[in-house]
Amino acid sequence: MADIILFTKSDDLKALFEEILPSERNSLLLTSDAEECMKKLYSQNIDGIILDYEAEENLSALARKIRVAGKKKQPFLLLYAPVDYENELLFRYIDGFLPKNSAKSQTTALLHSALRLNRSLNELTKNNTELAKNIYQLDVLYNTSSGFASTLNKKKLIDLMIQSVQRSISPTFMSVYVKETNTLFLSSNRKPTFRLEEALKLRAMLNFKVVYQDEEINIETLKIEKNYKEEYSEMDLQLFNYDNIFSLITLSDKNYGYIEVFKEADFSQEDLTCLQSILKQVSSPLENAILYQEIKDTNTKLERLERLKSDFISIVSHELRTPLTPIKNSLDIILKGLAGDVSDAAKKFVDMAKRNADRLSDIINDLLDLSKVEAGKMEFKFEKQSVIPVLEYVKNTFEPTAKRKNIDLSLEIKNDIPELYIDSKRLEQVVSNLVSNAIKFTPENGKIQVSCENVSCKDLLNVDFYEQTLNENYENYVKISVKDSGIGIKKEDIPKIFDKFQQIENSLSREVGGTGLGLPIAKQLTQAHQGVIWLESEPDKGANFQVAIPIMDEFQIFKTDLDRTLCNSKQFKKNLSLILLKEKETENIKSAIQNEKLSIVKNGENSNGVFLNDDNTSIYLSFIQDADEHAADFIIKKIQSFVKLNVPENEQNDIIYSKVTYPKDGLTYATLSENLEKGLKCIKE
Amino acid sequence: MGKKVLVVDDEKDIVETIKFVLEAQGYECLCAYDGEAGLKKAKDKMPDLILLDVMMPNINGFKISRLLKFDAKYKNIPIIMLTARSQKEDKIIGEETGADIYMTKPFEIEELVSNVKKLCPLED
Repeated sequence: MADIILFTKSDDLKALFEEILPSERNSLLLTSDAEECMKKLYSQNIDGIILDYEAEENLSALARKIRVAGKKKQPFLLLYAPVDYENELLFRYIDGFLPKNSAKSQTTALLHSALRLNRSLNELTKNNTELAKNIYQLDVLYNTSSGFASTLNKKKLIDLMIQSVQRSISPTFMSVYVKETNTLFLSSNRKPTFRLEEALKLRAMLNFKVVYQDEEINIETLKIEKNYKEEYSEMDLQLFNYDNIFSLITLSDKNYGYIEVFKEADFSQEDLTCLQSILKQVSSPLENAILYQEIKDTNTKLERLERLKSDFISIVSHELRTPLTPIKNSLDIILKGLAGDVSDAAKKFVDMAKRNADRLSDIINDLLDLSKVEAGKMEFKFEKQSVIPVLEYVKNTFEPTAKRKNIDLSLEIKNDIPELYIDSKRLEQVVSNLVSNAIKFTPENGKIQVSCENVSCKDLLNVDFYEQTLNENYENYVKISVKDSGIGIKKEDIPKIFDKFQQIENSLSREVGGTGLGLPIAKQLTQAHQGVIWLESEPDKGANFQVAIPIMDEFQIFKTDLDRTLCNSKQFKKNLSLILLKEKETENIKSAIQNEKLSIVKNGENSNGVFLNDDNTSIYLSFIQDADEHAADFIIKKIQSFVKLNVPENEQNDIIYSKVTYPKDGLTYATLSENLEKGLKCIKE
Repeated sequence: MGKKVLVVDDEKDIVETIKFVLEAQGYECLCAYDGEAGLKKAKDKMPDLILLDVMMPNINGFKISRLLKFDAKYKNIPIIMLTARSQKEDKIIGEETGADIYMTKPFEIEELVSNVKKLCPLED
């Protein structure tokens, strides 16, 4: 089917073409008036125009007008003229030539081929336009996805989504509902009228009800945020006559809201696909943004909790100890006779009061120790040292007490005991606890053996440690045992023995007193030494409490300390500390440090490291997140001692150690490098 | 010549027991129940020893100690600090602000008397 204009005055020509183009399949429009021809061109979809060379004086002018007027579809322009016809200007505008006096069959063929060509061309143009549009939409999607990936802010993500939808499918009106904030975002060129807003609110409520069947939105508190360009041009209820697409904004486990777009002209299939792609793209970033918010909130809560813990310990410590002072002092005053004579009866009871005040004091101290250790607030002072003096000190301290019950207290060192990495005061506390318990629960004339032995990790593998785990990274342990010949403990009571306030129900424990916290404290302190504590016992066969502390090499000590310091330093204000290390050492240091805590990187690989070249000395800088000055100093010392033992002496002097504290308001990468270079120069001078 | 000891603590009971014990030993005792009053009394009366509680409202013991020790007129007065806190930081701060002796509550009377006699013997 073709619509063709035949521009001619000749009836013969008319007849010719009526024959060539049968009327059932084509429509042939005849005219000899230029204006009428143009009008037809504008009002109808014309496939082609045949110009008769004789039809008019200024054919080229008409031809030019036709060319310029071409809209989406260009009609073909053919000239019917004799073979030797000359008109250069006209020839510029025409697509083909129908020679006069050629055979009818030839003319027909020419005409049909022109039609086919024209159709193909128009098809091609249409496809190109589609393609261009698709490419544009893809481009929008691409930019959108990078935009989405760059932010964790929910509001920004929604804004970006609205913008991309606007750019890619150009809706006349857009409404986005966000469930979390119960807000309806309206975006359009024209300003929505008040009643359109109310209608859209109602529509939101209904949409929501249809989609999320068991939930409702509160239309009273539904907020509207609108964004429009033209203040004085309004959009009213006619919006609901427009073509629209409705789509949900879903996250993996819940619904975030919906989006509805309206367009006066129809949306195409590509528009729908594009919209769906955008929504799919925004889903993950939105979820991440929500999670990020949750994490930030949780972190804030955790920080507050940490501070409360510290404050609690301080406050309780003060509040509980304060009244104890005048209690004890008053009782002392009375006992010493400073407040007058004291009868024997009075003395007995004042003594009792004093004993219990001391007991209370012990409980408070134990409770506070336990709280501190559990809260990670206890300060340790670790050093590589021999454990034997500790054991000797404890034995000597308890000897008098043991003697009073005629208990034989002995100390045996079974084999070669290397130095351990311990806090001697705290280890002393552990052993004292065990010995003191042993004395309490061993009847007169009994025996207590304290011994110390170097054992291998394998020897300990078949021991039941209940909730503790033996760290098998350490090959050897030093085992300290406190074995008594006392009343023993029932098998079923053994698991509870290290729990707080679990004094075993028996007559003896009532008499001996104690706080019930000694063993839990011993357990915490042992664990702080990376060790384990356990018990072997049978009723009436005594008890054998054992503590195993690992023997660590330099490497392991370094690792343990680093872990501990970095964990502790998180409680302090957040700063970044930088440490300069020399190239060769980084391989060793690298393997000594766990990945997530410290990273040593080359220039550019990630923003946490900088690589400087100065006089052929390569220097790696490593950043420690959330560390403070104390951590930096500590780590430098540790690295220094490690290097001293492991690096050949002649190379040791090449190493520069320094620390720089990164200010809280941050520096850009460029400024940072600048500052570091300055710092480096100062060190060398 | 009698020795004057100034006791500064917001717990009246503690002040009373310390006063009782020291007077029994032969010292003259002055009392103050808050930091401001304590500081004023220290400056007015020039005691031979000050027993100072750390945790007090308004102005705490560390501050008072620092103020006195950095003032030429009062820096020679020995100070014993008392506290219920036993955190390591407090001990360090205590030493840094010039306390001569640092005691944790609750303390034994013997310990108090022995420390007082050490810093401020009755006979010179």
